[in-house]
Amino acid sequence: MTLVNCKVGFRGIIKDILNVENNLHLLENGFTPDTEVEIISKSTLGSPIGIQLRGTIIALRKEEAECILV
Amino acid sequence: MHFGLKPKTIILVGQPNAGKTTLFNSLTGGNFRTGNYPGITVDYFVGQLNQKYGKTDWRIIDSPGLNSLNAKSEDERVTVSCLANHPEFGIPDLIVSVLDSSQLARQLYLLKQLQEANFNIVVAVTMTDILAQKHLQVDFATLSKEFKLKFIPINARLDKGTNELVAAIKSNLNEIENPLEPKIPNEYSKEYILSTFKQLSLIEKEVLKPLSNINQVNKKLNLVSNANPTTRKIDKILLHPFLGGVFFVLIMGFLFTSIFWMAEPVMDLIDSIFGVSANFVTSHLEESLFRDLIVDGVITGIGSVLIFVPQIVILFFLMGVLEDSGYLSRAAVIIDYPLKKLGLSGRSFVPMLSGFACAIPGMLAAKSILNYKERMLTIFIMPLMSCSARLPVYALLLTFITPKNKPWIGGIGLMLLYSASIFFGSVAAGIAGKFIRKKDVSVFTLELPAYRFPVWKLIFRSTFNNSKSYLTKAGIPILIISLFMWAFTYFPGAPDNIPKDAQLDRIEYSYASQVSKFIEPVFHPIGGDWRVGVSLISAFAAREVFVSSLALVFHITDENEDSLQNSLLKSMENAKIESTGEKLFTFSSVIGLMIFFAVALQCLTTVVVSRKETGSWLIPVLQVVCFTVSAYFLTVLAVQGLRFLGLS
Repeated sequence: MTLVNCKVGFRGIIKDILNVENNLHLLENGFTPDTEVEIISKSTLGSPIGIQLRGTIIALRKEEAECILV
Repeated sequence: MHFGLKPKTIILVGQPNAGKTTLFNSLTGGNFRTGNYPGITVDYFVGQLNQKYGKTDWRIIDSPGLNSLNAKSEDERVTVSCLANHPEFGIPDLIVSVLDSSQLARQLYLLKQLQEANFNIVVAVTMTDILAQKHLQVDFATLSKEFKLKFIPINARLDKGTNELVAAIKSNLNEIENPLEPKIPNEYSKEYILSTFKQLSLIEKEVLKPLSNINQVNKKLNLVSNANPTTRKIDKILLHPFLGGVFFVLIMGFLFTSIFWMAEPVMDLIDSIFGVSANFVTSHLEESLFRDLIVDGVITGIGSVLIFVPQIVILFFLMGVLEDSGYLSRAAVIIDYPLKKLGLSGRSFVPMLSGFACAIPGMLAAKSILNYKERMLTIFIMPLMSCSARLPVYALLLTFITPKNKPWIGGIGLMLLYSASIFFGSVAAGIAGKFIRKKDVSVFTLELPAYRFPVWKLIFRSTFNNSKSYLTKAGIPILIISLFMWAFTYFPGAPDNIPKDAQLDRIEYSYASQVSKFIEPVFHPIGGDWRVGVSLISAFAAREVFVSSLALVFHITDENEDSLQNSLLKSMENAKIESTGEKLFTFSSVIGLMIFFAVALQCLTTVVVSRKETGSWLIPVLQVVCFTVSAYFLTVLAVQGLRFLGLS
């Protein structure tokens, strides 16, 4: 399942990043496999999504969050 | 080589929100100048060490926030290469890496890259108070051993630890005479990033220790990965799908209205000060070209720069509060989706908001948009945001069409004009977005920093610096353009064959009038004549000049502000088109004028700043042509349409 399918409050571990060559910025922001994440918020229209990881919160658009498998 | 003679160059490097700019302000005491990296529109700041830390010849440079040395856009590539070899100062002697300790592994990533690229580094560690809220602390001894670097805990918000940091910089500079030439790889592979993060996560585990007074850390909660607990709670509300929107509208509504009501008394004061000084000069100098230049050119010119300072100061102050407290990035998140549909991004929100005060600070603020296309598009639509220079014009025109017993019509009219501004902006963004080429992928990836109570000293300082930068960047062009427009509406003066007592105002014989009379047919379809035309032309100095030029061409000489508006309204009521004898200002022609002002780019200063911020003439020229031409046709459409419907 990708982060887009998860509800607010979901907590889990990143399994993989899809299309990784185009998403190096996600890796560099700390979205690496085995990292714990939690969904903090979803905006009214479902994007962007606030994701807590490594001690901070990062907002990602739906298209970016779709690439994160948990 | 001049050993010891060359001033030392120190660059602050860190991720966005790490506290770099706060540290920079603290080290320089807020005394710095802005520089521009070659070829791109990203600024850097350079200042000297504040005297209170001792006398040095250091040049301290604040660079734009970077997540990684792995550049993803052209601007980032230039920024990164300037770290290794600065265009003005060469190879830096020292990098101060600013590190947010509450998210250690993420932040150590950039430090790791800097260290591998051979930079000479001292590390400033921030946010230890945020970390302490999670009952954790950094084991600095272990961290230093791991990296073989000096780590200094600081809290620049409260000026704590900066003395120790300066001492560490001093001893480092004494030790290292000539730094190695840094070598930054062109690319960092996926394998590199993954293995680095693996290693850094282990280091993080090793150096984060529970605070000594707490023996039991709840392992199950995995506190290390949690964000600040208070921040999590606040975000549950402020980023809630429904409540978040409500708070957004409330906060922005408050910000927006305060720009107007808080600034108004000060703006009136400035206005009357300039009125009084103009009168003073008029009564104390002989009538001459020089007097007219001083009164109508210089004093009015400086006045039109300063009149907007109160609004701009309030805007920067309130935005400083929102930014320092951490709300602005949430606002960007909430508004991202609708803006993205228009080809913009949540990051365009703050610049657009500034644009409602004045397009110029809006364009300057667009620097924070990383994506090239989104930045260009934001700058492109900026002149359509209903800036406050339009207000005096709207006020006059709305008063003209509002019946005395129904004042609320004016209020609704103003609301419609602001909505129209957002609508026109959206349409323009939608159309222009199809033409601006994409240089880099649009990523949002915005960090939401921990909420903090704002530090007033810092906000006052940033308000001062931003306002200063507005005055220097916009003030000089505004002044030059007003002087030019003054000359255009002043020369060549009345012909000799007209007796002195029969002469009208100089504006009637000016080049501006001649041009306007020559192109008068252009103004007929919009229900105007050459007098409206000359006022429209002089509005290119600044939109609000429209009102005073109108007063000039209708020979309103009353000095008193209130009766000026009343007598102007009266003469507008009576004004007739010379050739046909029809009324000049009617419901339809006034609506038309308002539409024209809403859309046309009539502010030459905006054009100059747009040229500076986009790096070429292409966008500013497009803005002038597209907005002014479509303003004209929309106005014709509105005027003729209304007349066709019988609403003359």
